[in-house]
Amino acid sequence: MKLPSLLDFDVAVDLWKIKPDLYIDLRPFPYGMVEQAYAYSFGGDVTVSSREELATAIGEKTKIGLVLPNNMISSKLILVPMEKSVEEVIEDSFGQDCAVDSFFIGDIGLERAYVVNAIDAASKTIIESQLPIFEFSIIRAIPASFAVSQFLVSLKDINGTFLIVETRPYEMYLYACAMMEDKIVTLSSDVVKANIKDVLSEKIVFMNHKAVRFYRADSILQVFIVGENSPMPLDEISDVVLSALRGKAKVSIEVVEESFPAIKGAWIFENS
Amino acid sequence: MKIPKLPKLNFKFKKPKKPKNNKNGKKLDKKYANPVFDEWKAAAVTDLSNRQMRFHVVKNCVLCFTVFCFIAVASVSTGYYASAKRAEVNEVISRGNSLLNEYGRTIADLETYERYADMKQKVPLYVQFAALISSSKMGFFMGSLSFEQAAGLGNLKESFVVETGQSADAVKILGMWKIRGLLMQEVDNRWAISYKNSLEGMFSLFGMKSFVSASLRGSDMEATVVLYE
Repeated sequence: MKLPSLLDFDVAVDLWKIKPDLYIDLRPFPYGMVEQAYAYSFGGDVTVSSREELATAIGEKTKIGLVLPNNMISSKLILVPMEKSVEEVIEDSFGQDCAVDSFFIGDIGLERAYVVNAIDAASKTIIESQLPIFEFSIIRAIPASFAVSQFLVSLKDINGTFLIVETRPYEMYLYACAMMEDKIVTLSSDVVKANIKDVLSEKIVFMNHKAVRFYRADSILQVFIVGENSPMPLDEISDVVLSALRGKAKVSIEVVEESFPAIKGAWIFENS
Repeated sequence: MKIPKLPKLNFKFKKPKKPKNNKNGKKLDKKYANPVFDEWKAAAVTDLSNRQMRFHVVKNCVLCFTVFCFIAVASVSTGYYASAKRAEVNEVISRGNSLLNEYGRTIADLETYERYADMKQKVPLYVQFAALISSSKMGFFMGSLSFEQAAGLGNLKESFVVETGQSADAVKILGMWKIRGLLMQEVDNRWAISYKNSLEGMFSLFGMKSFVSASLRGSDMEATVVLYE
């Protein structure tokens, strides 16, 4: 028997209708001698505290948003040919045990551009082990590159392809991003933890090459060095970047001194 | 000579697939790709779906109640309107009926007049009527008046014999008037005698004799005037 249409209702849940109570940056800060700390914010000031302190801040019903390092959440720009759907592409590229979601950017020629973000089972285990509580409700997972880009977009006028050098204690994150159809897309990401002076230049060259060749984007013309407590002086980073991108007539470099660009960017994105 | 077949060309193009919509066909208000494992979002999803279901139930209840109210109001107003219109129609019918009754009475009167007109009289009726009216010196208001040409004397037979000295069968009855009316003041038999004398005088001028039987009760008067020869 068919039920009347009045009783037929769609209970499809759209997570975007819920706002997180708390955003946690799951990239650890050094704390004491061996412990790790996490930066988090309920929308106001950003706090850095140990796992134990963070555990006391999270309630049972706290809805959590996570800012994840780009090696835990893969963020890819995918061009989908007209005869395929993005679901088919995702099915071919990712396993069943992954959490995958796509976001339509726009039509690029005959193809459609999507951002596909995914977290695999191994990363899931690591993420869960990093959270200080056992029962949690996570409703957002965004890559750090995207969160930092959102922070920069709120401050600066950004166009085309740009490079972000996020300096953190003992490590440096590199993100090659682009503005496509007024949306931010992460083209490539990397992290430099040791031997920074030698490796940084190579990585920047490779990221620029990748952006131009793989993603058909423009070469990098804007660079943002964001962060505090850099393991390398900011002047030296600028020199390295300039020498890596030499040949480009007008590469602009801007320094933004901000300790928590990812958390702040995540809230800017959430409130936008 | 056989012409070689041309190769078949197939120009089929698939339509580009559009970004996914939800079940209702509404575009999702998606801000970015958000990969979250089912276990992670289970609590929030349950909470949200419960809220959505509650909202849906309340929405449908409100909708049903609104529809019910609308039907009730429509029913009451239709009933009221129907009742008002029914009263209006009844009033029109009643007015029509009273008009028809009036027309009926007029038709009956006309039939009476026609009957009177068809009667062959020695003296015309209007002359007789004028004599009846003018015979009372103080006048009277006429309540009803009737005339019959071929009428029997009925229970007036005896008084007719006593008063005229003639048998009812020995005379020719020319007509009988019955008058009922109201006098200006209370009168006694003298008025009846006077009226009778006046009538006899009047009708004798036309070669007719008259017999009057009048009964008085206060100022009410009832008289039967028999004309004969």
